[in-house]
Amino acid sequence: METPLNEDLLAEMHRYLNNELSSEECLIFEDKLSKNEILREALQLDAELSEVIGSTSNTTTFENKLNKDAVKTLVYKLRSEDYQQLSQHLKNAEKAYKNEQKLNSKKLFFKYIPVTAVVLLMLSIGFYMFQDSNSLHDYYNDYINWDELQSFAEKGTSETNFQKGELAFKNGNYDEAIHLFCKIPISDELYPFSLLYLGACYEKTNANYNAINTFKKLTTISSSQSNKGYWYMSLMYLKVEDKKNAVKSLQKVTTKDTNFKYKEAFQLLEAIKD
Amino acid sequence: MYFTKKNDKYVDALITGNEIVIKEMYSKFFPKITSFVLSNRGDAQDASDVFHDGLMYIIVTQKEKRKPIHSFEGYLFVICKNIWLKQLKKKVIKQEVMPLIDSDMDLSRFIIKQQMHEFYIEKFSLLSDNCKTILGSYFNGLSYDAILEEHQYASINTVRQRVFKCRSKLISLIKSDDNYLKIKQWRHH
Repeated sequence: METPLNEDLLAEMHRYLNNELSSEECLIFEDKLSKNEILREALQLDAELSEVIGSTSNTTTFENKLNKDAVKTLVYKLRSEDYQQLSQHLKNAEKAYKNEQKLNSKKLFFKYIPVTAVVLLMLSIGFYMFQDSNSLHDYYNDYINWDELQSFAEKGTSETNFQKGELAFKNGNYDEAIHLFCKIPISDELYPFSLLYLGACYEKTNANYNAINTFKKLTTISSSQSNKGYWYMSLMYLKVEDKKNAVKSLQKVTTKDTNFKYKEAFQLLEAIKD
Repeated sequence: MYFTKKNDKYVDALITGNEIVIKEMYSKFFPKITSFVLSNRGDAQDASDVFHDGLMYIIVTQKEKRKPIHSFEGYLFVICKNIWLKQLKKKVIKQEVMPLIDSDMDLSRFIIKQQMHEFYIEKFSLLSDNCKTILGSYFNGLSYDAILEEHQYASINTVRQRVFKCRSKLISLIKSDDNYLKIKQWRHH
C-alpha cells in the first residue's frame, strides 16, 4: 500500500528537490518514488510550484514535461482559419495604428517647425507638379509582406523538402529554396503552400513573370489557399507596372468577402483607379 | 471579482476581430510594451511580435470560456513581459545558431505554460498571509533550518507542521478546481 504524504515524507522530498540528500539517502528516496504514485505527483507539484512561486523560477519543469499532443492541438487551433483571421485583424489594426502615428508625427512636425513646413510644402508642391500620384510600384511596396506566409517548420528540425525550403527562404537562399520547393509533388498536402513560397522566391530574385505564373498556377488548383494566388498576382502586376492585369486580379479578390485580403483589394482598386 | 465594462469591451473586440477597438488598444498599450522591449535588448519588430502574441494569448484563453480580468492593461503587460523574457532567454542561450523558429509552436508552448502559471498563482493568493510567507520560503528552496531561523519559529517541529499544513491547504485548493484536470493532461505522461 502507498504511504500517504506525511510531515516526514514531505521533509525528505523537500531535501531531495534541493539536492540536500546524500547519495545513499537519494537512492532510498528514489526507490520510494518508484513505488508510490502519490509521492510522484507531490514531487511534480512541488517542482512546478517552486518554479511559479520561487523567485529563481526557470520554467524548465513545465518546458520539459509538456505533453506534445496538447501542444500540437493548440498549434492546429492557432493555424485554423478562425484564429488566422483573428491574428490578421490584429495585424490590420497595428498597421492602421502605425499609419496614424506617422500622420501624427508629421502634424507635430508642421506644428512646431513652421518654417521647415513651408519649405517642405513648397517642395512638395513642386514634386506633385511633376508627379501627382503614387506609382504602381509604390502600392506594391506598401502592400507586399512575405512575413504573412504560413510557417510549417518546427523549431530545430528541417526534415522535409518543405521545411528545408522554408529555412532556405528565411535565410535568404532563394535559389536553394526554389530548387527545394520545385521538388514538392502535387499530391503533397503542402503543395499549395509550396507555390506561395515559390512565387515569393521568384519575386525576391526579381524573376517577376515566373512569380506571376506560379501564383496563376495556384489559382487553378482546388485548395483553400487558391484565392491567395489572385492577391499576390495583383501585387506582382503592380510591381511590373501592369495596371490592366493588376486590376483584373484585384477584381477577382473582391468577388468573395471570405477571400484573402478582400478589404485591401477594394482599397487598392480605389487607389489605383484613374 | 469584478469585471469592468472596459475590460469586457477589449476582450470582446479581440475575440470578434473589431479592428477599431483593437487599434485603440494599440494606441493605449503598445507604447508601454515597446518601451519595455526596447530597453531590454529588443527592437521594434520584437515589440510588434510580443504585443501580437500577448493579444493572441488573451484571445485563446478567453474565446472558449471567459474569465474575469481585474486590470486589462496590467494583465496584458505581464503577459507581454513574460513572452519577451522567454524570448530573450532563448536568444542568450542560443546565440551561435538561431534555428528556424516556428512561431505557432512557440506561442502554443507559452500559452500552456502561462495558463499553468496563472492557475497556481491564483490558488496561492487564496492562502492566509502566514501560509504565503512560509510557503514562499519553502518553494524558494530554503531548508527547514533556514525557515526556522528566518521566521523565528519555536522549533524545527513547528516548521514541519506549518509547512505541511499550509502546503496541504494549497494542494487541496489546486485539486478541488476542475481546471487541475486540464493541467494534468498538459503534462507529459
